[in-house]
Amino acid sequence: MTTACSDRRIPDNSTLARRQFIKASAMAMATTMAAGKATGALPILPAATVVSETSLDVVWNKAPCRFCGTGCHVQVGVQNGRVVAIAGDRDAEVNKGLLCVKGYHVGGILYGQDRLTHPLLKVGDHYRKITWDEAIDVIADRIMAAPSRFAFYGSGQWTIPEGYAAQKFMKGGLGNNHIDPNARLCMASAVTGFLATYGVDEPAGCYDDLDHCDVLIMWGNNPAEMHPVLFSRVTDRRLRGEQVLMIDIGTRRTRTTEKCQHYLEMKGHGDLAIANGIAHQLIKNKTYNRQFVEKYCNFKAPDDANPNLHGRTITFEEYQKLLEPYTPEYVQQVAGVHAEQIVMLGELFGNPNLRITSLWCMGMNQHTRGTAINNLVHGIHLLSGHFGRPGDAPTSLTGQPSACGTVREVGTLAHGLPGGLVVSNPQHRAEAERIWNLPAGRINPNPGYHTVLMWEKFCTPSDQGGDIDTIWVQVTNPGQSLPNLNKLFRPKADLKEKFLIVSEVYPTATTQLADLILPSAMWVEKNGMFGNSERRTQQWFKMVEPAGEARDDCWQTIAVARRLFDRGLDGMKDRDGRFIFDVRDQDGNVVAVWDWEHYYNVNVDEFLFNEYRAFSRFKHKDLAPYAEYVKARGLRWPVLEVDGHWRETKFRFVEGADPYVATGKGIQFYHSSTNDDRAQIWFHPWEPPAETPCDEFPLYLTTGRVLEHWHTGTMTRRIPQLSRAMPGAYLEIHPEDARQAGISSGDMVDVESRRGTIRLPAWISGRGYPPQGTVFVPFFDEMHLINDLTLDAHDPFSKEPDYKKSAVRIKKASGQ
Amino acid sequence: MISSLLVQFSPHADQASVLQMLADHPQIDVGTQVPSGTLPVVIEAEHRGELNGLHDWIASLPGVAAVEVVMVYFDSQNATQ
Repeated sequence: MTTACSDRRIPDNSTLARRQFIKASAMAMATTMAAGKATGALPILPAATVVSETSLDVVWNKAPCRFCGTGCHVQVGVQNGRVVAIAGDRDAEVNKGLLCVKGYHVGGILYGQDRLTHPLLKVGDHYRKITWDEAIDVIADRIMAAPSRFAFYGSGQWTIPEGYAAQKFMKGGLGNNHIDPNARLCMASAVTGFLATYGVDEPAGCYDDLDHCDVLIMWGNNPAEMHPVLFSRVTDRRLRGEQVLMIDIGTRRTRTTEKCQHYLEMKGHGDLAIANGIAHQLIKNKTYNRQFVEKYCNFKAPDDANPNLHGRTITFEEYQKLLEPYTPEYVQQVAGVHAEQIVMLGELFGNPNLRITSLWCMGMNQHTRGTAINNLVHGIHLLSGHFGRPGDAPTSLTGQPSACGTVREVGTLAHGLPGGLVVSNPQHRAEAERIWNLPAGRINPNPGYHTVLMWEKFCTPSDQGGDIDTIWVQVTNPGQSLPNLNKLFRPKADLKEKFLIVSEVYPTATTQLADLILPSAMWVEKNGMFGNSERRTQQWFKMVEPAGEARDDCWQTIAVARRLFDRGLDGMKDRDGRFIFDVRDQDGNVVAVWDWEHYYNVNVDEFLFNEYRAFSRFKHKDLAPYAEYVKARGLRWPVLEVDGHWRETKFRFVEGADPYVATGKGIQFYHSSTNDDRAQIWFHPWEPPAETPCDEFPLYLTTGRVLEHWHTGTMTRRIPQLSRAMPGAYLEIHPEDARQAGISSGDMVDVESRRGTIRLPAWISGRGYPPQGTVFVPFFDEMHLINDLTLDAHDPFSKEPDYKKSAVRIKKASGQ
Repeated sequence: MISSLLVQFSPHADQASVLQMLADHPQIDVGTQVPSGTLPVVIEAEHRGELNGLHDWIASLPGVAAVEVVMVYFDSQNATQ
């Protein structure tokens, strides 16, 4: 398979360094491929080869990459109705023509030989092909039988219009808030962290910070593998001769560590103590930014009697007192890092001449104290004044292409409404009902079940309190990605009253238990919009036809809604009795978009997005009209019209950069939860993880991703080059732990937690290097489901589980 | 233009000689060979014709069974040449 990329905007003065970087990347890619050829591939059905030979009849168009939250743009080459080439988009600010090894192969995801092409209904122990009309009826029957016991489980891979349609269908139609996305499992703690600190979600900064920072601190983050193009923005600066100090704070050495000058190897939850240790240093040395703090910040501590995101207000003196225990020596004791490293971090944050960017992703979010550690990292940036200048920013990254756009902005969480509104607020409900033209009181004021609770209820017998009977899954794979699968997914197999509907592209661990499988269109087989990690909203058009009878997820939702409307379900009518998805053409005539034959008669995405735009103004997340995104490689909100042009915002809350900051304010946190334009600096104590090693289970298990595969691998494992490069999961183990257990590389090892057991090959000194006492297993491999072992304990505010700290024991498998 | 390739040797190839020829070529960077016998290399050329020529030259070396293209990078100066 050949891929191509291009970049016509290389600055002359950096051409040499740029070419060196490209050559290094090219070599890395080839080496990865070569390594993959050296190992036996798993029995994965291959994707068809994507040919990149450029010829005159190849039509190119833009699209964001289908994989991670970086939001790289690709150019997609189509010939004879088929994607035949992928190139990096030289006009995209995010990636400037570069792609990672997954991005170069993204076209292949469409052409795995086992695409789902027909609706399939489970009958006894086999599946029967049915028509779409029958499938829609089956879903309508389930909902009509018990609307309040139906749940929708979605995704940060939903396009914005797909998520918006599902959101409106559930909260505006059924009056049922049991809708939650898989993003609950990856970035919910970032949301609660932003809300508790600034009163509004999502980062103030953007990727430009990576171009300006002097210091980059990665908190439990491995962007060299998970966000490689962003990581290259920083390493590329070094190749040009710039000085960038890179610091990795983590629980195992990774490819990111190799590029860092400093590595702080911490124990699980050590980050809480490290952040407090930095704050302690700033105050002890009087190097905190007093002027910034006095003008722009308040102090908060948890309200133990009434835990919530507002906490209790404390004075600076109380904050100082609470931090007193966090001396470098104490931090060394509880976090496992060296005391001198805390002093070093304190000195860096205490230097006002530096620009410091913090990055984090799953390491801080998948954490039973996830909200707390998010608060604390924001807090040290605020306390030190490292905020509000390019390169001075605390920035969370997302793992999915539209975790921000579809989940956080459209609000597809169990408590949310579009635009940052929430169902528990009467004014917010009234605004949503006004925009949706619904009768007053339609929207249920009670938040629905969050992900863990939703699946727990689904996997509990109906007569024992399991009050979710039917779940419809779209664009995600909970049968592999949920924690503690033996509790939250697998019991469904024995519960005949439960019904699982799965809209999917390929057979997955989830479809194995599905009662109804719906074949879905994917990526450029449909129109779409994503919102990436830096508040950038992106758009693309359908380029090829879906496989077989596969259809858009958005159409599926609208078709079910219409079937319910036709059956007389009041929720599917607005206050004037019209269908809630009342799509009209330019002449004002109703278009029957619920009928697949007419779905593309109009641009449904444009209709839904322009309706959704009205929500974006409540929290100053203004979006431009759909047509503006057609012209752009994404725009970062808030996007406001200035002198006839739609202007994006790179840095929020900063005068001159953010149009909502009043003149003379400098910095204004205009959604402050204390209504005084101030952000909140929190104190949270260090606390141990929910589960720690013991005599019985003496090792920490941490899970994560690898460069070659994206999340549960359903797409990347069907690309032969990627599958060969990383064919299966493995147990990464420290040599001393392996020696003590009599394990050599390649030996099969039984790994067991309190919740389950799996057997994996060991890899000593492999891709990463866990410390003694820790093992690592990636979660991409559906043949080795590591989430059989992980625990479902979660953060009390974000409800996000901790996949990083389960206690396990290992044993060399018998018979070797 | 920059391209990365995988060079696959025949079972009884004189790999040392080929490796030396590749390493001596000023437009070729040689990577680390993996146990399967596959060798990653990166080639740099001014235009597509030269790139194709280098590809063909490698493929013609004695003992080289196949050359697989992994990636091609091109910029505005040489994209259409």
